[in-house]
Amino acid sequence: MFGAMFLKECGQVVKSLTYYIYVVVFVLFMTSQMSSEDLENLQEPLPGQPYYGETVTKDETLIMEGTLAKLMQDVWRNSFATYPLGFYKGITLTDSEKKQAEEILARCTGKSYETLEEEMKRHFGQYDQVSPEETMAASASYKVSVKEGFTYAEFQTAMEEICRLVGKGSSYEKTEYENEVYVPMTYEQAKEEFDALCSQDGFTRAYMRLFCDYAGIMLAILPVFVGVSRALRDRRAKVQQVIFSKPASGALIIGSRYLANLVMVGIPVIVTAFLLQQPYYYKAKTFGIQGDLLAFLKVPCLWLLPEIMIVLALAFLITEFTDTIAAVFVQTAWGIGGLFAGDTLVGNFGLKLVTRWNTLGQSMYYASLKNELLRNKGFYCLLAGVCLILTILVYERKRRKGGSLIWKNI
Amino acid sequence: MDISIEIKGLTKNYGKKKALSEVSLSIGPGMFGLLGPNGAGKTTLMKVLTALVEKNGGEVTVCGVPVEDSRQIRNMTGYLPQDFSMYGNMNAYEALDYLALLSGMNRAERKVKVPEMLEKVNLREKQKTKVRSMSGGMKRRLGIAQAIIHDPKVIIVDEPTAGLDPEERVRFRNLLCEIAKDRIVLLSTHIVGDIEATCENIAVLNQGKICFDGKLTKLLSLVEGKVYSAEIAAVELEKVKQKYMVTGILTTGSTANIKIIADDKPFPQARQVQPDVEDAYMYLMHREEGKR
Amino acid sequence: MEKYIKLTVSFIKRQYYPHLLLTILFAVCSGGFVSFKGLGDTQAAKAMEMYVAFAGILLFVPLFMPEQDKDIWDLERSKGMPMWKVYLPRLLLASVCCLSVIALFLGIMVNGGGTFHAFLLFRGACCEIFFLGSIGYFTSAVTNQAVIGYMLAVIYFAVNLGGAKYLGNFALFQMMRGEYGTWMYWLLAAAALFAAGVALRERLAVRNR
Repeated sequence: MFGAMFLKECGQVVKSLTYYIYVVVFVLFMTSQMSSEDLENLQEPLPGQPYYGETVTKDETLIMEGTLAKLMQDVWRNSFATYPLGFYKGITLTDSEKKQAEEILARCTGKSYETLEEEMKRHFGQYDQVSPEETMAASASYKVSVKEGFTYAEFQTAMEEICRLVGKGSSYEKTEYENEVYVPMTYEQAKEEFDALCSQDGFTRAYMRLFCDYAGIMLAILPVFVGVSRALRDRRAKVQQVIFSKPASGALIIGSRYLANLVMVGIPVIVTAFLLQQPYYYKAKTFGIQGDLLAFLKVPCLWLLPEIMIVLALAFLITEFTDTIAAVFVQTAWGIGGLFAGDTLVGNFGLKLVTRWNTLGQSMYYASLKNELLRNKGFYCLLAGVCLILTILVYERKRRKGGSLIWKNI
Repeated sequence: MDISIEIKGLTKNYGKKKALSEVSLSIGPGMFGLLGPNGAGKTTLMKVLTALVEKNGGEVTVCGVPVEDSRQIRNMTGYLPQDFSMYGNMNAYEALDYLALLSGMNRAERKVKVPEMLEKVNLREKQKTKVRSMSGGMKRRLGIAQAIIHDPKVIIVDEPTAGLDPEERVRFRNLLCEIAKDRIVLLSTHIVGDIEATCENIAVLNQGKICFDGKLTKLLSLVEGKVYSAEIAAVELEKVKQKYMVTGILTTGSTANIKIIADDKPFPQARQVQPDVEDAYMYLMHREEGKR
Repeated sequence: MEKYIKLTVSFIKRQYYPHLLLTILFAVCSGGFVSFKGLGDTQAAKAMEMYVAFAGILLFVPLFMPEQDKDIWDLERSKGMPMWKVYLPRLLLASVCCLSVIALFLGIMVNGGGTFHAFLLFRGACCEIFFLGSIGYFTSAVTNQAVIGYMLAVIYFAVNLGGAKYLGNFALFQMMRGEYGTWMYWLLAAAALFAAGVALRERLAVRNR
């Protein structure tokens, strides 16, 4: 019974205009973003090259410069992104707290806050502020140097003071700032990275992570439109009453709809991933490596499936509960807000909806973050399950009440 | 199996508004008509019977099963809502197949039943027509097909003939009579003609209360000897209307042929005529109004 | 005149007020995401183009909501009054609301002691935000589905984050790059889309509903 319903619901998805727009936009976006440049640049590092990419540094001076630069921007905007429970929470300091933060900055650098402000404006004036990538680049190259004789221990104390001002989960905790500052790699480091890329990731898995980075942005928003149009269609077509009166259970009706939408949204993702993966699979062969042919299934299922699940489940829940398109607003705010609030393009997953990995490789760093990623994805799978159960309960309740839960039924 | 609907002291409120108050009815096999003006509570009563609305008080059982057991109730009942529609992008066959699936029928059953039902409601040739391009009558016929496809013991149809042309209406009534063998067909309407042609037993609902329950002949007996027809001058019409209940007017030139209900002979030229259901219904409504 | 005011008031009461409330909520919440103090040209343009721009989507897309119910639409069409006379007052209403929102944010930024060029920003923002709104307006007009209107407007916004180079003079976020000259393209496109939305709706949407 469930299988037959599932197939019928797939047919419903295929007949909706929203779905076609989703497929076209997704495929165009992915094929235009995933350029072949990465493929051509993928070479085994040789000694004596001018540039080998970047890596996280453990150099204390660089850590201090990078962290103070971030602090300077946050203090100037008076807006601190914190993730106390994994979710974003913006912090604004009071005037006296902001004064304290400015004094801490002055203490570390030996310059007045006003001077620092001047220097910062001059730096950012040189960059285009539109694309998130450019903004990140401007931030990445911005440094604030410490005053002479300032020790790392003093710096740590200063950061603890900042943490007391802004609360838990900011970028000024030791575990955070020691993993966030990037520097160019040496040949040895680059070689080690490349070996890991070959042995651990077999090329294709690393490439699929990059794919998931871009796809994740789109999938934080697009599926909501598909889900909302399906959930609203009963009301629009005035078939609610007749379906309510049938013996089929709410779990069957909602469950088959949800699964059909999930599968139909997933299909273009998997197909695009497979097609884009193939050149990398063959490139791996030229290096004498057996690439992972199934990476196009494994990696998107881990990175993207939980995301699509929660976006669709929330769309179903909000739409069934309110009988409006409110889910569109909620999801757009969550998706785009999360994208803008993102503090890094690689790692730092927390409980963010969109987990980013905007790099081809860094396999060793990824291995160290794998558990954090699994926690994130597990959490969203669970949350999607809860939302789905709530949707079924709401649906059954509506059935007994004769229609909407919040609007007047006649 | 006991084929009956028993309703005792049923009450339903929407907020402060009383939609049904202390309704009691006993319905047996065959066609049963539920008559009443718009807003009388007919739709609410039908929704209670199909477990689409929770009651506030009283007891309701369908074929011995209390309405609280919604799963069982939905298995036993077929419901055609007042404004039945289906997804516009499905054709007649797909729509019926979809709803049959929701009624719990497996693939093999559907393969036999869906064409059979389409045939029965005369949609077999139009089975590829999309719901969005169907006429009101076609939609209604599709609606009745989905209500009976799983062979329910009780069929509940809400205002099925509203908006149909006379020919379609007659066909629809006949169809209902045909399927009413060995089961209950509960038909709600505010169109008296539908009831007259099809139902032996009826109930009249007004302001959420039952004001009549019994055989059609009993309803007619209420106005026995009280219906008169007369020819009067057209200019007199307003005056007569204020004084008596007028149930029919046919104006020709300066004279008007009228039908009125009155306890005694209203004027000398008036002559007694056979009452019809419409007269009885009007009389009943008028009497109810007088009570309030 | 009175008839149009009545129609519009009834539209607000029955359909539009949740969207107005949402826009107000959107404005009230802005403090949590965007800073309005001491902004330079780039930052002021960023706040306008990346945040306030959503007001255009919120206000212009839901203008055809009542007619999503086919029966209501048929009833209105049967009244003899040309439908554009029903749609136009709504469009004016949304335009006035949108202008007020833009002016409100501009006021807050000026008050915050910014160093940006207020007139250039206002002119550009109005054209750009109307343009973004008109994309959703046009789409929901011809598909008769507000969901698709929101979808395309949001997609257009998102595409501009990475792919502005493909869109030439119709790209968003130009003022953040210091380019204030494309307002005319936005204005023309918005006007064309609003007009086409009203004109084509009765022809296209009736057929495909």
